[in-house]
Amino acid sequence: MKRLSNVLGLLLLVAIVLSACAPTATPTAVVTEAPVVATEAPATAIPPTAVPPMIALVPAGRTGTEGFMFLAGEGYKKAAAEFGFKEIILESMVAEEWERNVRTASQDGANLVIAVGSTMQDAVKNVGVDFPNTKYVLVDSYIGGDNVQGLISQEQEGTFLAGVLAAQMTVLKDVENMNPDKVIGFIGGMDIPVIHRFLSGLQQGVAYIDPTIKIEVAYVGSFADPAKAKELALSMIENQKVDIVYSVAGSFGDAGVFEAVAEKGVYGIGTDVSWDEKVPGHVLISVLKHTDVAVYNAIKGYLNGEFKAGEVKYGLASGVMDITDMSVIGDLVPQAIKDSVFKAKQDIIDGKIAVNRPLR
Amino acid sequence: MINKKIAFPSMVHIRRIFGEVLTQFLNYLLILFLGLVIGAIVIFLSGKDPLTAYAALWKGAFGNWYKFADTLDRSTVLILCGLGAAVAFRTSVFNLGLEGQLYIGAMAAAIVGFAVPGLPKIIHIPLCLLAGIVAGGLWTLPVSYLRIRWNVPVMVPSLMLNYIGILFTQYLVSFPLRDPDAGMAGTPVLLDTARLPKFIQGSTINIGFIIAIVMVFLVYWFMFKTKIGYELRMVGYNPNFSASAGMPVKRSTILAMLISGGLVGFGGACIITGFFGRFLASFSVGYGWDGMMISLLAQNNPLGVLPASLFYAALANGAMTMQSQTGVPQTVVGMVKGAIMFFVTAQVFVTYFRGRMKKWKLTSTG
Repeated sequence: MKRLSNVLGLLLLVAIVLSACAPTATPTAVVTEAPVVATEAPATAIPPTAVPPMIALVPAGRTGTEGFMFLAGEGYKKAAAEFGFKEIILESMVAEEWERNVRTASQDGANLVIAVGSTMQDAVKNVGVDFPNTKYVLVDSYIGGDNVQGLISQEQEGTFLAGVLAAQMTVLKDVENMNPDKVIGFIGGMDIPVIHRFLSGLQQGVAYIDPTIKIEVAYVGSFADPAKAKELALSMIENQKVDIVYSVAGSFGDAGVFEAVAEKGVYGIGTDVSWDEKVPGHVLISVLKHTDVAVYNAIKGYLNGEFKAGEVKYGLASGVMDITDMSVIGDLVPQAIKDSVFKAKQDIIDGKIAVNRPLR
Repeated sequence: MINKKIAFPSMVHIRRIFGEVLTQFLNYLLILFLGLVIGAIVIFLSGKDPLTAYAALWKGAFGNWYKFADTLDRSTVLILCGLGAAVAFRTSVFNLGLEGQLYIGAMAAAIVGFAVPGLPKIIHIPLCLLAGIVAGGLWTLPVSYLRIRWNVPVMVPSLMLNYIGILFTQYLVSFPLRDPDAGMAGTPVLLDTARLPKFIQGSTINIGFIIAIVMVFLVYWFMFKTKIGYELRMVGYNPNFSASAGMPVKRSTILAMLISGGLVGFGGACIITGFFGRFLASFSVGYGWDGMMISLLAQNNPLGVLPASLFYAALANGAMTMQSQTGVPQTVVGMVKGAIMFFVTAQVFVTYFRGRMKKWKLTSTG
């Protein structure tokens, strides 16, 4: 009895001490980690006359770790620094919490909710009807609705160029570990429309050079499963004579694929961010998708009162889709092939080559 | 025990019951406190302020009416999973296949929800829920068969059926039932007639929560006030004794598994028809496992499942806000839960408080 009360007293003491000294111990850490703290003191940053709008970022993942999500976060932060709106970022890796997060942001009075990832489309659809006065920006997908804007990147335009490159590289005989078989590989995160856009562009680009080249396709089933992505890549390289693997499996999955590629000494093509420097000598080119620019533009448009429901398309011409300049891979890719890729890029921008967008 | 049948209520009985309730109340209060203190230490060590974090946690769970309603909504599936676990554990049938039964029940409800057109809401919704119950229940039959036929312990096959169930539904949504327009692997969207009606605009709370509450009392009544429920509990206490007393032990095992799987499948049906609106691959955040923990936390008492589920739901919803507002990771909440489970299963405080109650002459049991 006495011992127990001693223990309890000690615990209480610990609790008091902890709560008393914690805020003074790490004041900077708390402020940097908690952007929402700013909501409690908005008067300093924003003129007192206008009520600052509240803009929420709800990624289907973490902005700190994943390429695509990271870029969305960068665009959001850049806009926040420039325009000074109320910030709220709600991250989760779980499907159920994506909808709960979109809902929380709407309930808390966000004027604009930016949902990142086509996996968010159900969440935006379900919540959007409940909050007709809130605007929603859905990155990578569009599902209708009077208050929803879909930012659709024209992935097929970027991957077309990757296809043009891969089709010419896979038949080269004097490159190490490049076999003469006309087979390349494609590893997607999920069997969903946005990944189909990537695949379709690749197919069209390859067919533009040589329609007889075969593309092996595999889906991981997740954007966060590097082990399975690596297994798929290894099996493609070993069993299906694949010497160039295009990976759109999320930054986790991509890491797994490129590990396999580097192990086997073959070649890969990266997505969203530049993988050229991360796996030097093995990544031929990366198809860049500047989601940060798209998100920034969407926020800017909303703040200027130009929000329009419907699809907003971003292609090569807008600069959102782009490719790396193949300088890291160097002379492994012959200059003639590089030039053909750059020419195709210019032709797409000029409208001389039409890349079809798949319906699904 | 709180569940003891009272033949002649008298002052002594009332005092005993009061003493037992007080014991349990103090026990849980202390456990909650210790769990939170351990969480606070972890938060503090990670360089954050525990009080700010817990304030955000509270705000996220009960901060306003929306949050409160969302927390109630999130508890729906937890309540049903907890009840499923409680029925099985009371009968000493260690059904570890809750997660698989949840997926199978959810899938059955989703199929009825999108593939059966032209029904009015009043028929379609019960049909979906029924499909979930039946599918979840039937999914336990292989386990029961192995138990009855070859005396295989329930634990292992039920655990293994989880993988079969989860991966089977994953196959279904990846190939035959895939909706090509979905943003992730999932079935087509349910028809409007299959969606559980919501009653607060802007919140996800729906009829499912009310059904779950009704189920709590229904299961309690079944387990403690009916003959079959009595048999189940007796088999749970001592199967050998029950067998020699002429109770149908095998039948009780099958029945407990069926009811357990049915309740969990019901939970799956509720979350699909009430929240998601379509079956999604790997939609569950471990609700089946949480159900077992909730049942343990409630000491396998159906009435205790209700507060335990609300507590779990509040922690889950609060953790989302805590993470976004203070940067304290949601995993801290997992530690709090773990610490609480440790103290609950250890039962140290109950023994202590029972001694105190005896001194205060509030109870006679030691």
